[in-house]
Amino acid sequence: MELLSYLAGLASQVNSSAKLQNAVPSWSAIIQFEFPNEESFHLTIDQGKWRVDSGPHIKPTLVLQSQEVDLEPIFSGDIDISHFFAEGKMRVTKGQYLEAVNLSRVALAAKRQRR
Amino acid sequence: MREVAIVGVGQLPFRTRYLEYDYRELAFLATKEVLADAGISIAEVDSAVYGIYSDLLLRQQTSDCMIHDYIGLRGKPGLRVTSGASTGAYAFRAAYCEVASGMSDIVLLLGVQKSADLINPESGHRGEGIMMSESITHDVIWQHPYTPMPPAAWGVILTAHIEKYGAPTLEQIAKVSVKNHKNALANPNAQLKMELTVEEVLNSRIIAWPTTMYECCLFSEGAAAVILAEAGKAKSMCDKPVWVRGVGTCHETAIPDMSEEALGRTLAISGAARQAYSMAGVTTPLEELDVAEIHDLYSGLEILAYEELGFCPLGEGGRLIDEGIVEMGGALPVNPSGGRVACGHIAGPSEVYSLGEIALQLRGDAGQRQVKINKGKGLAQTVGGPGASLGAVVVLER
Repeated sequence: MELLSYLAGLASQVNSSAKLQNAVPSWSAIIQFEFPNEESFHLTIDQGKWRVDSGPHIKPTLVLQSQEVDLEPIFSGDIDISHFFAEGKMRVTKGQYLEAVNLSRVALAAKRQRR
Repeated sequence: MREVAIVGVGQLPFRTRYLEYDYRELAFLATKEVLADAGISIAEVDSAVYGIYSDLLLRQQTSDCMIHDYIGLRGKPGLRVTSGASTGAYAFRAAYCEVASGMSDIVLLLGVQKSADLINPESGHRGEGIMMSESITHDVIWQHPYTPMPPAAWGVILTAHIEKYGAPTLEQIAKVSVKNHKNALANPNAQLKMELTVEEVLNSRIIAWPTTMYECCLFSEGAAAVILAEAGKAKSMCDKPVWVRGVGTCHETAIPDMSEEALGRTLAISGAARQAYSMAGVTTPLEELDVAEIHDLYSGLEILAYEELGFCPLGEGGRLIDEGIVEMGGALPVNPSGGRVACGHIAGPSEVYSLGEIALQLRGDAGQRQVKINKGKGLAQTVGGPGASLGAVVVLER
């Protein structure tokens, strides 16, 4: 999936910046993305540092089911993740919605850093 | 009723947090500034009116008593007013009446609020403590279960307006946010200086549809003050007194009214405007005013306010932003300060700040954000409370 390559680049940017790691202070989570016809992947966040892996995790803290495969606008910081929920494209099946919002906090901070 | 003028303006910058000052100290700093601007000492002030919104956020009741003593007014009359996000404007009405009635010749009006010294005792988080405090603004029995926080309550009114009139569009609302953020760049007191595009505003986090993050007011700490004086003293104190020509306040229904007449309206604003315009002799506000500060708690509400203030017919407020009428170079610049979304907002100081801003504009003392003053009149409008039920409008003239 191309998105995984994009995410790997974003993870590299986050992991090399203390400021981005602290965009959501002391954040640790395992966020799993599931799609109807695509392989899932998960994002492991450990004290602000990101790692992207394909496939499911045995114990995610947040599971997001997405009808929309193109999630790049979220991770590029162009669109806040809340829009996907408001438009019915994404829903939380495990965990708290506000945890998903944290993704956009970091993504927007990364976008500003790239300017 | 005697003629009353604003003879001094004192404004502190809005900040997310004044970690180094408590509310008394902020009050002192704003008082010091306004007294210097008016060229008087505290001894010459006859009485004070305090616009202090929330004891809970201050973690102190009877805060006006503490401030009154701290700034050196012990023994003189004092009055505290609280009216949601119209606190400072309602306090202005009280201060105006104090002078106009002859009870006092010189009155200090002070709005002050700290908002971030509050924590949730269970979690220890400031954010949760603040949200718990703000959530009880609305009727805790009849409204709170449906719209637990202010953006959701305001969203009900805005979506009802869009449903009824087919306007404003999401792009028009975003343009208002862009305008005010841009205006704030020229205001040294503005909390948030950030140039935005319509796209960035539309794609930012949805807070309560259709309002996005950049269309929401900030949550600040600050203090602002004005000195009001009766006409004789005003003329001797000040080269450029700014006269109070119209004052209106209006308590409306406490829960958004879904009747046909009230659907999507903010009747507290039109109610207050009627009083203020009648007093000031204003009949065509768009032609008679040079500048306005409007309470953009949410950018969509600024557009609704254009309509309620009679700048245009109901449902046509979006046209004013599309045609540039309310931009800095337009026929009636609105929110040269940057408004609540960019200059800053906390009930109490915000409204007094807006009144001070109009006074500075009419005096020609607004620096880089000065608008052209041709007709000599400006307007400050506020709205707040549950169901947008507390409206205030003040018309000033140089």
